[in-house]
Amino acid sequence: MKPVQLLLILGTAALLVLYLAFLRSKLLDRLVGLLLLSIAWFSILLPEYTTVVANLLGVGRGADLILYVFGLFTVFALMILYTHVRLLSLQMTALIRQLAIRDAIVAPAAQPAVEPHAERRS
Amino acid sequence: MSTELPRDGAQLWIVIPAYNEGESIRGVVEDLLAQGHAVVVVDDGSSVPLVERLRGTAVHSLRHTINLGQGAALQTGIAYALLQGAEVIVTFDADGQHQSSDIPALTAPILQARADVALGSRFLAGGKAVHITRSKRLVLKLAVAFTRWTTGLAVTDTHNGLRALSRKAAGSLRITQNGMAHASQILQEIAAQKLKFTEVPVTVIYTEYSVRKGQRLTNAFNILWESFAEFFYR
Repeated sequence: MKPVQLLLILGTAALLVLYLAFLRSKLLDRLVGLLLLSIAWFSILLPEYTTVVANLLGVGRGADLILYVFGLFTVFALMILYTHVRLLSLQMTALIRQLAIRDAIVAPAAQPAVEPHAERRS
Repeated sequence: MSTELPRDGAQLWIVIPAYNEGESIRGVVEDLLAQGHAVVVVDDGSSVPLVERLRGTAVHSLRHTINLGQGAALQTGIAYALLQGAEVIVTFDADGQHQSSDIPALTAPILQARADVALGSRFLAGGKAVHITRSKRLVLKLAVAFTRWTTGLAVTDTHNGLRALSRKAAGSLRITQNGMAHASQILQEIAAQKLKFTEVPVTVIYTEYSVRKGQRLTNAFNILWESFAEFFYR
C-alpha cells in the first residue's frame, strides 16, 4: 500500500465517523455512509477500476471522472448551503423585527409634543 | 401618539433608518418633530444605542438587536408605522441630507390620491443635488439607466431615500433586501404591483458628515450582486 492510500483511507474513515457522531446517525445515514465509504476505499485501493467505469462513460481516466463528479457535487452542495443561509437570514430578520416592534420605546413627551402642532398647521 | 394632518386627517409618519449616527441625528429628528410629524427611528443595531442620543425627544425609538441593513430597518419602521395607523409614510435619511421642507410637496400627491408612491428626485427639474461629487453623480446616473432598463419605469432618481408611500403601497411592499439593494427592490415592486407613482423634485445636500456616512461608490457592485442573487431566489 502506498502512503497516499493509507492517508486517504484514514481520512475518509474519520470523515464518516465524525459525521455519524456529531451530525446525523439514523439507520439510513449509516447505510449510505457505509456505501459511500466502500466506494471510496474501492477507488483508493484499486484505482485502475475507476478507469474502467470512466471509459464506459466516455472519459479517458478514472481520476478525471472523479474530478468531474466532485466538481458537480461541490456546486450542488454550495447551492443547498446558500439556500439554507438565506432562509436563516430571513427568519432572523423576522425575529429581530418582531422584537424591535414589541420593544418600541415611546418617549413620554410624545403625546404633548404632537398635539399642539395639529393646531398650528391647520 | 400620532400626528393629524389638518386637511383630511390622514396620519403622517416619518420613518428614519439609522445606523451609528452621530449627534446630528438629534437635529434631524427635532426638526421633523417641530413640524408636527410623528417620527419613528429604527436603530439598526448601532454600537451605541441611538436611544441615548434621542433621549427627551418625542420620537418612537425601535432597535434591531443585530445590524441587518438599511432595507431591513426601513421595513421594520414601515411595519411599525402601519401598526400605529399611519395613512401616509415618508422615508427619510438620518444623515441630514434631506430637507423637511420637501415633505409637503412629497405627500401632496398621496393625500390627493393622485399616486400611491411619490419618489423624491434630485435630478428632476426643480430638484437639487448640492455639493455632489462628479463620480457620485455618474454612478447614480448609471444606476438610473440600469433601473429604467430592468423595471421599465421612467424614473430620474433611483437611489434617493426620500419618498412618500400611501398606506396601501406601504402595506403591499415587501422589502426582503436587507442591504442597500432595497432601493432597486422598491422600484421593482412598484413596477410589478403596478402602483401609481410620481416623482417630486427634492433637494439633497451632501454635507461632509453625510458623505463620510454614506455609501462608497464601489458598493454599487455589491448592490448589483445582491439584486442578482435575489432575482434567482424569488
